[in-house]
Amino acid sequence: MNSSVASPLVALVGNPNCGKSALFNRLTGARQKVANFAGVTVERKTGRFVSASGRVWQILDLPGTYSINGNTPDEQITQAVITGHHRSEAIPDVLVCVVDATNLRRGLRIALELKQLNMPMVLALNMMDVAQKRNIHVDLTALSAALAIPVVETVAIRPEGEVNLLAALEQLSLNIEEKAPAKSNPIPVMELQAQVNNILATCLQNDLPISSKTEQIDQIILHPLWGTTLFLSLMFLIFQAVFSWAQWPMELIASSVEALGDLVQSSMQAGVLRDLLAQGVVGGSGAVLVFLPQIVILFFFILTLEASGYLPRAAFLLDRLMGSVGLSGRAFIPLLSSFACAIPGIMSTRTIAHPRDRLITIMIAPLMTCSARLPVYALIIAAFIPDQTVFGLLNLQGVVLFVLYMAGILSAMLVAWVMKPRNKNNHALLLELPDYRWPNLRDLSLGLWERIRIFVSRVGTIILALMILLWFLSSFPGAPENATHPAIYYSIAGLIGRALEVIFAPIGFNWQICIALVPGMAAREVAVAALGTVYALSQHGDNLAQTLQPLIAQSWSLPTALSLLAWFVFAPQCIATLSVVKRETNSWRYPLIMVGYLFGLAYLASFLTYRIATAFLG
Amino acid sequence: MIIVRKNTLNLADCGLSLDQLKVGDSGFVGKIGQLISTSPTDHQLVDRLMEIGFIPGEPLQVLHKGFLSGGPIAVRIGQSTFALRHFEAALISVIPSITT
Repeated sequence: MNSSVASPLVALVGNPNCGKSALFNRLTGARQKVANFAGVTVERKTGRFVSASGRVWQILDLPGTYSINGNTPDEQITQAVITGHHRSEAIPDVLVCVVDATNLRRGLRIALELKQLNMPMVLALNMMDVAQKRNIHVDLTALSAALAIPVVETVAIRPEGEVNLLAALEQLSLNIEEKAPAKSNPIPVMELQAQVNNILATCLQNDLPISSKTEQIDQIILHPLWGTTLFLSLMFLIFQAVFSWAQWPMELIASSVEALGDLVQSSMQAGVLRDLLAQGVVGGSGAVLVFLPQIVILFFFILTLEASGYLPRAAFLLDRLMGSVGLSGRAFIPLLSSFACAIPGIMSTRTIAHPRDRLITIMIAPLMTCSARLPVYALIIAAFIPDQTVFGLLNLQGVVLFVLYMAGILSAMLVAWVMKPRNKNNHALLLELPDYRWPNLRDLSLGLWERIRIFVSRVGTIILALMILLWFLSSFPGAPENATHPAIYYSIAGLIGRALEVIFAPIGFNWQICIALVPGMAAREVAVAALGTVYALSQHGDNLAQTLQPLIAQSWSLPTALSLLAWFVFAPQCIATLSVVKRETNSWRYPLIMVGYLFGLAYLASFLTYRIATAFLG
Repeated sequence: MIIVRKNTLNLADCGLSLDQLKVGDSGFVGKIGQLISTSPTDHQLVDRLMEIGFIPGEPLQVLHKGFLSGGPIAVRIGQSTFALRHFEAALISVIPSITT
């Protein structure tokens, strides 16, 4: 095979927050495969790009690391891959060491560590635009001579900001057939820094340390009083926005889905196939698709806060609180990601070095209200909580949503406190507070697009399949002659629902809800779609076209609705989360404990809610 | 195995440790891990502190502290800023700089 035709594998290595992911996005654009979560580089991100000569390159974005001899699971992945000791990854042909040009003191340490691996390597001085603004001048020729590797400037956030890197890669002479695992001989860190200082003395003209803007902003954001107020207002704004901004796109989607259902109803002949299409496929997936705008808004905020550098500050503000229940301050970021979905949250616990800390964080991650629960909350809140203003400016529905999220957070704190090791171990924080940055529109939209794609493809695959299955179970066997109940009552699903009702009646759930809980285990938002199918099939006569929300408002009591809300605060895990827990903890023990304690808490909370609400409301 | 930690004070080191500095104070990193302890997690922590840049001789400054006692400390080390908990900061001894 001719080596100029084969596509070499490039690995991006560098410190956290050096703009590595932005450079990856700049190089690959949409030609990338990202792991199933937002933002932080924790899992594997791969892609392809083409250089000027037409050569195709594969690229792998490795987790950010301070040293290649690090000890968090994250850093161990990086170390294993670049030295060729990872069991499933090929050894890279070229290393691109990405260094933040405004923080050479730290970046060059890892560059020197990488250099002693004796692999083909290019140093990319990223964020050169910021460096220039701060009057930092780097002598590229001198730096390249000192390190004996090519050094190029890049500006990952600007179009064409990567061309220098591409040109340098083209000029490397690569032998991509012969690869032996590299040996890493750790250099003592004191010696490394001494070498770095020597290099910097010759290459750096201006070592103005920090961003004074970041310092000024931190005066407010890290301020004990203003910072905390700002944090709470920000969280509240997000919950309000999820409800009020999403309204008109949701109505638009809902009415289009309804129109499509009507079209199917009117253009097909009556029969099983028509019912399946109209009720199972269109109705079921439509009921979930409606929540896309809310999920987009939630992720917009999470991605923006992450890109701007605010998230670690929030962790700083909350650290005292986290510490008091025995959590590591680092647990904040995985827990915040869990508001989007527990799966990326649990995977990002890999940045927590201490095994016990990591385990507790994993166990409480599902108590953070994930976006899949949002459809359930949204449906019930819209049906039972009046859309009115309280205290002059707050929307009551938004307040209830906020309360539900807080209930999840508080119970997580409680569970963490119960699991807290009693032998007084200290938990490390060691959290970097990077300079503030304007979130880059391109990276933001790539991240949002990724989330939309995942959500829609879930609707198109798992959810759709479950809906069709549920429709079958709910439609067969048909109702007997002289039936007094709707047909679904006699079906297989009806049987299951009525059997479960025995367990769930004490907490106020009827058999229709019980049916919906079962597929809700596969993916929680399916509970909404399932309710849609169940209630559509429960209808007599002409009012089939009615949407779900007024339907449940008619048929449930308020205590039942509140009890279901309480259930979903704890909502025994979706199967995808449990399988990630199994993978990350490498045992069945923890997923089983998780199911057990979540189920217990959910039942208890619903029981109390139902009984108290019934006593007060009649 | 449970490791019982003993907070052994090293009397030889009477210098300042990072957690004793006030907001705005600056200095240079002295020694790390002078509070000698047998816990292997502490050795890891010391390595980790050096990896992120707490290397003897590097300049540092305390930027912020939480409002409750025992809250984290934001420290600028070199050109980066890190948040540390008190016990982490206590591992780092500081040579105070002449106040400017």
